[in-house]
Amino acid sequence: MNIVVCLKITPDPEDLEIGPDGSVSTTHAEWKTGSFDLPALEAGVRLAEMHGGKVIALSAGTSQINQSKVRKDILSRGAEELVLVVDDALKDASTAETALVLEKAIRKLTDVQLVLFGEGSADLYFQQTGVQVGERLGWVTLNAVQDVRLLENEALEVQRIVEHELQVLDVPLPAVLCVTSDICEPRLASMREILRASKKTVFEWSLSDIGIEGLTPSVEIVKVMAPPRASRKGEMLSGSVEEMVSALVNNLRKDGVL
Amino acid sequence: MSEEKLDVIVVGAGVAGCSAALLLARAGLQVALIERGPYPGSKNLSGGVLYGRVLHQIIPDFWEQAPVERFITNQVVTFLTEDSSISLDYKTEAFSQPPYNAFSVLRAKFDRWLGDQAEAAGALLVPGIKVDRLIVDGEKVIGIAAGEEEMFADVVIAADGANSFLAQQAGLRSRLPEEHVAVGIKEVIALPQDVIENRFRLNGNEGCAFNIVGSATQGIAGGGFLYTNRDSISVGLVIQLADLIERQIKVTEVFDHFLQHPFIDSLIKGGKMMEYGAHLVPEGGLRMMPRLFMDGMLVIGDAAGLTINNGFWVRGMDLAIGSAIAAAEAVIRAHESRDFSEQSLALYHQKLSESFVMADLQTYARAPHFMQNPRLFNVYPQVLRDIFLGIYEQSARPNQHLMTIARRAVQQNDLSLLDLLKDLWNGARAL
Amino acid sequence: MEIQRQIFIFSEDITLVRELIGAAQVLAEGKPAILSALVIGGSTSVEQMQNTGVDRIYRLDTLPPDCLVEDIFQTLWGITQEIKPDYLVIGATTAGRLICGRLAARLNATALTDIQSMEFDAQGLLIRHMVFGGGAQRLERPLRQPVVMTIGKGQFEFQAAHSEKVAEVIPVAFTPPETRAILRERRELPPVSVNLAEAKRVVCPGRGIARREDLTMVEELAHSLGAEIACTRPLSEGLGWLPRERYIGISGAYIKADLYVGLGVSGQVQHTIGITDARVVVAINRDAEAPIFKQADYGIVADLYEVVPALIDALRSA
Repeated sequence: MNIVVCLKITPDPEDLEIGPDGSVSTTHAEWKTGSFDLPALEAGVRLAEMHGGKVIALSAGTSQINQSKVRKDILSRGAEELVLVVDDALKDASTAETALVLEKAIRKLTDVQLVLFGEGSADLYFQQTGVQVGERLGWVTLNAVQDVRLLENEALEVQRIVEHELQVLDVPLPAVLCVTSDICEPRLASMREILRASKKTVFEWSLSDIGIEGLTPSVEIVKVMAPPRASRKGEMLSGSVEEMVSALVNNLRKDGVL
Repeated sequence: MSEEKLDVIVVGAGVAGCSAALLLARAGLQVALIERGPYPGSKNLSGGVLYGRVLHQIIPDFWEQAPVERFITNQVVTFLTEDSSISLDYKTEAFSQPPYNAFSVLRAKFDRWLGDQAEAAGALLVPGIKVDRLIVDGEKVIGIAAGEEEMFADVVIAADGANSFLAQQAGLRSRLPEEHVAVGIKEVIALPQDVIENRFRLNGNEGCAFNIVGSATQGIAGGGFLYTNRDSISVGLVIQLADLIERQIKVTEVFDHFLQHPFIDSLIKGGKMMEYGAHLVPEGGLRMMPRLFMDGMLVIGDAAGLTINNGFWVRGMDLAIGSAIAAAEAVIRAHESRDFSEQSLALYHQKLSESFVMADLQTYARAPHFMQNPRLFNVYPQVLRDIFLGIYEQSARPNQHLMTIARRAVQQNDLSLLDLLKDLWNGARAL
Repeated sequence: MEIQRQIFIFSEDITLVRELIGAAQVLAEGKPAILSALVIGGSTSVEQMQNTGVDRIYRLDTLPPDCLVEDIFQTLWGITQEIKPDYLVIGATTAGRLICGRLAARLNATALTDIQSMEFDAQGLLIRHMVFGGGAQRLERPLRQPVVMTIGKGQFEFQAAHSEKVAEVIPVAFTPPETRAILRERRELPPVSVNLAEAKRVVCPGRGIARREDLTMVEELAHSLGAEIACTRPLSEGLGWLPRERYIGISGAYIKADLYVGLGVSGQVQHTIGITDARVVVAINRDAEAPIFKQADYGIVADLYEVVPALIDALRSA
């Protein structure tokens, strides 16, 4: 059984730079696999380790995602192969375009029974792409999955937390599951795995390799800006601890919050 | 837990480590390059100026693809007192075409590129792993361990920096004595490209390097530097650790004082602080050099104490590369003859001695001691200041001869003729 | 005659449906539009929807007992095929997100999620939502039709423009899904210990708290202030010191309290996005460079282990 885990490689949100005019830039950001995607990869790898099968990591994006450090990182976490759909037409791709690309890529792979996604991408967190891929493939699709087990009859037993309810479900294969970060802790790559990573195969496909001749965008990004912020007083208290505490209490009284 | 034994393990993906891994991979050896940071360069800091000819030998015309900042055409030595600066400013066209002479670099970018070259040549880069210890069999080093994981190889090359833990563990050196270590502290200050080019009178991608002596360090042994990058300035101090500890002054205090000096301030004015860092710098030179090799192991780069500061310039990266070249030769020969004993690896030391690396270390063997002479930072800048003040000041009183001015300056600053002569003599020998 | 906009709304959460109506009102742009809603529930639910401006209420009595909310998809799909809406507005619950995604994929539509605000310009609809974990906001224009969107609680208000309109109520039959997951067990989770969204005062420990045992001191302070205890994500998801519902941040709780006191909180965007509506923000952190100080009304740069006991004392003696 092949398990595909979809990962999004994005600029690290921690490296976001906000200009004085409120403009936002990721020019100096480090590109990394999304932090919500790593638990999904770990979950897939554990399933493969327990029940046999192979994990194929899949990602789509511009040439920015095709970095040695990123490839090595993914392959050192237990994925056997990495498929990268690389095309600069994917710049600013939103969920609809990405879902189409991933669907086509998954169909090109053989013997895929399960596709895993994280709960959302690190940069946009729209929580849509996995669900859209599932619908496009026509497979049973669930989100908010907290636990996955393989049953003997080739079905999965899945736990979901939905608002205030815990659900236990039998999911027939093939299926697409969007898992939460709680599902498991991603492993720390060992030296051995990092070395092995250099020997694993990376497939690079273009959009035409997967039968896509052109992508029509689903959104136009008009502007990206710093979020509106409440303007705060920014009053820094000074003096000894007692003095500062006293001043604080007085201020809070005056403001009417105490 | 070992699967396959590697030919070489290089610990530390700095300039020395990456260069060694690159050369060994090119020769077809299976080499792992282990780095504790997330990528090569993430934990490194240099002033930094790279004297590039030796790198050009192993990567011809590297400046065309490497992320170097500016090629240095203007070298300045500046003496600072509290209210004055006296500079020797050398600018030349001789350094403004390939193969150039020196480049300002930012290590996080540069080392990363160098690591990529090593990987492209076939080296196996292993980032994010901290090597804890050597694995030794009797007297022979046979591998390294990180946590519970072990990796074995015919040779381990320790390129793990100024405070080389591996060299200590192997018994090749003892803990660095404080008087042989300096603390380098620097800021990278962003300034628009055109401001830099205007302010420093640079044409295009030319660059400027300042070596600064004097009140910059409040009388503590050490010196300052200022280098122009593409759109930022690297400015910092290298201060002797022992002196700092003895005087109980915080390094940040000295650094702030330095940055506020009018001479420095005028050069960095209007800039925005982007990065701030500190790093150890080995300063002992030849006197402090550890043993460099033993059965199954070599030590290169800063770990081997290969740095020189002669007051006019500071070098470390080019010596690191030189040592990597010598080490690679020795390891390749050892690999061919399947002999990784100390006798076989002695070729490393031999090659090092035949190269500019040892030669320069010999030449400047006395430099570390000379550079720690307190008169260098306390007295001479002041003397120079007084001399030039005497020369230029027109106080509506009669002028004096140069000799008189000089003598007066020397006396005013309690500089005995004996000390002056001694220093001139020592300086001549050391530099 | 102008073609009327068709707007379709759905949420299993009836309180959220009212906010979706508010969003639909914005989408109508003051022009005539036909607003249809799918409601699961009895006559009370339908009653609540009358005179709200909804034109058609598609009513499904109940879901079959072993069905998930998500299993309503086929039924919902049938309705949308009939109406052919221009906008599909779904409540941003877990089920809602799933339904939104499936709709968007089937319709090859633009999906817009967690919309914070909407406006129109000459070319049409524009929406805003957060990206980069709260670090930035994006203004987007959907380029495809129809547009499928999710809207979460608290973003849109229902404008009580009292409508004389009596909605047409259309009963619908449940269309079972083609393939589905089989529900084996469902359990109500224990009720949340706290509703931070309603708390008047909040004390929030962060990574500056060294040990779990130190939370006792935090509890004492909260008690003196009459405050609820929240936390930053690492303390709940990472360390497990406090339950999930207590963490404030991008995927956690958003507070509207009068007072927020951060103890050893560095102030990363992913957390502070949850406190922007707090009236007064107090930050205590020994790192003067901590970003939280830029988002605070009052800042104290000191060791929280000294400040907190002093603050408890001051409150007690006052």
